[in-house]
Amino acid sequence: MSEPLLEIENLHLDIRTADGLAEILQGIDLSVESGETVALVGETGCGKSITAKSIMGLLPETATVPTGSLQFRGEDLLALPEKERNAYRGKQMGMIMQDPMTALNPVFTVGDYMTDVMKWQGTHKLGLSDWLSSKFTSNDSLRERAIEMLEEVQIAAPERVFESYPVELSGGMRQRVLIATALLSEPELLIADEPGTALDLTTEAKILELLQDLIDEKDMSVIYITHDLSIAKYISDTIYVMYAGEIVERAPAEELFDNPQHPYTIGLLDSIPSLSKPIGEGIAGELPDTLDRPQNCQFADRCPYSEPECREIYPARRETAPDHEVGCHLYTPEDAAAFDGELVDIGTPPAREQLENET
Amino acid sequence: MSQLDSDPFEHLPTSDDDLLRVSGLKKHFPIHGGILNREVDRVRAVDGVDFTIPRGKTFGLVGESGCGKTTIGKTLLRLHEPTGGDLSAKEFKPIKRDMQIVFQDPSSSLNPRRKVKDIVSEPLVVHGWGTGEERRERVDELLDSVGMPVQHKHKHPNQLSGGQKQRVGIARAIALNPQFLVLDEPTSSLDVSVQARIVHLLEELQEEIGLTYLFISHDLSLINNVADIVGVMYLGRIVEMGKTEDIFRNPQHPYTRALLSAIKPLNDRDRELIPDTLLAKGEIPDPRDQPGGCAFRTRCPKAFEPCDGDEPNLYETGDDEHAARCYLLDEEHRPDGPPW
Repeated sequence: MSEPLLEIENLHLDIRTADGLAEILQGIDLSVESGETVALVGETGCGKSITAKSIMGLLPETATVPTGSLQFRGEDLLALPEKERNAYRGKQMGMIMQDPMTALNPVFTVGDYMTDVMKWQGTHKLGLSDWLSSKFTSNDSLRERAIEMLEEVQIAAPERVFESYPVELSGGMRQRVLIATALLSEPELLIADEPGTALDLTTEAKILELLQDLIDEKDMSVIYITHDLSIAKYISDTIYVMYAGEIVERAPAEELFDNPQHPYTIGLLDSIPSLSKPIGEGIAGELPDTLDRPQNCQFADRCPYSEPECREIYPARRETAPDHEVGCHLYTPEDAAAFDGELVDIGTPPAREQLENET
Repeated sequence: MSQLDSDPFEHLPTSDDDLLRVSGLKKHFPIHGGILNREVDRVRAVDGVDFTIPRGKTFGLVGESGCGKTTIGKTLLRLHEPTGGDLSAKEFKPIKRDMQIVFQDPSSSLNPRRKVKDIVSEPLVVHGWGTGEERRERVDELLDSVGMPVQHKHKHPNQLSGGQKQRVGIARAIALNPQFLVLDEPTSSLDVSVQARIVHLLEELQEEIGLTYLFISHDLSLINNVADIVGVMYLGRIVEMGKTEDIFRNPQHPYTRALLSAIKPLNDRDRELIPDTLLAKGEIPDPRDQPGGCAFRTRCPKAFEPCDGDEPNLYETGDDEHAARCYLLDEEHRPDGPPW
């Protein structure tokens, strides 16, 4: 296989808060091949959106990345100065934000928004001369391009939408505008952060279908963030399940549904209401506190199978079936050996190593 | 309070099994405008809805945002004054005590400045229930019955997780031992693993206290799991109603089929139960400016001539107590029956 388009290794992320350092991400490993759609699934507060923002470079100022690498086409984005980062943001990687109601500025028309994006994308600092010269250049070609893009996302009256303010559009239309804008620069990587969640069921279905068509047509790589496993299955090739700032399981979409292994994934799948089965028991307990992370397995306190060793030894992710990785002691090397897959020992994350050395 | 204690609705005869019977319920919101601030238009949020809920059962109301689900819930509790229609509820007196509501978003429906114990005892205080000591005991008992550790009663809502907040909302709603609960999307702001636990809690409470629920949701898979009877709403009307298994195994209204076909299957058995894809065209119309005839005709992929005429009646589907508001079921217009 060729080099992945995006490769994240052992990404840690802390956020300074008034109460101390919150450990948000605790070692994310994620890779996206060219043309692959990857889904990042997890519940509220597990760190999905902040992972997306780290990739885009949209982190809040209070965030620090103690360790980890984030390589896009072999270039480590975390090491790049802000100015060079701009060459990627929005251009080579586009993002669709979660809530179409708030992502658009209400005082600008769709046309203003889209042409501004085309004009200034990748610009680090806007000088007076840039601004002045933009006032005297024609926007016609930009307008044409924007309308063409609006057509591509199946907006029926693109000229009218181009002149409209966001309040004049329905939620589904606004989401289409956001998709169109994200795709203006034909990014190689598209990050979609719960694009359907704020929409109605029938509208969401249409947006998903549209996205699926666009992904196929443009052969983009996509990171699709969702809390809904059934949507992840529909849209993606590989699913990463996140829990408390970690990837607990990674598998091809079909495989994850046929053979879920991490107790969290099993609990999650079981909880989803379905037409053909009763709702499962759900998962007892609460997400661990980011200021006071439990040692080793983050899920141990809520896990029905937890053993004392779960709190003593870090459950490194290992391959239990071809292309299927799980971070759980239930799948010991002996179990894993029954499969033909090669064991992947990612070792202890540096932060933990340090912690263990101290104690 | 005297206004609440009198029963505003005309009493209709109810059968012994039916706790609640609603007929022709309407709620229109006037829009005022012009210099004289006269009514210039009205939003027909609920426009003639009939249903009955048997005692101890759950009536599931599904539909997309803006279809009037929440307005029905609030009008039943008279948080909105109905524009027309009858509601009869056996033995409900005074009515507010017997009917309570659990709101959609627990973060905004709990007063952030009050402690859990004050929030839960509020209805007890309002209705003058018991002495201070009795109320304190009742709060402990209620928190216990919704699965909340009693020590949480001294906390404020912002110290609780979403699931815990919703448990407080439920404890508050059942404080006065109501017979009927309106559950307005009680789990839509929660994660699925928490939703499952809240749903099971509601089921347990229903069994223990014999509660009757109006369960409002936009999630069909969830409604399939919790409801005994389902009503599908579109633009202020119930377009299809029947027993849960009939609605899900034999959906007849194109809108119901569009909603069902939008579900993403979890497994192969789901896939068999989901009808062929039927996408509704366009967007839900402005409720101020509803299309004449069948309200769904502008989006319906199966619309034909009679849909432009009068509004369709409810037609029997062949199942027991299962009807849909669609001309496809009318033998006069479709002698061969609907296309599915």
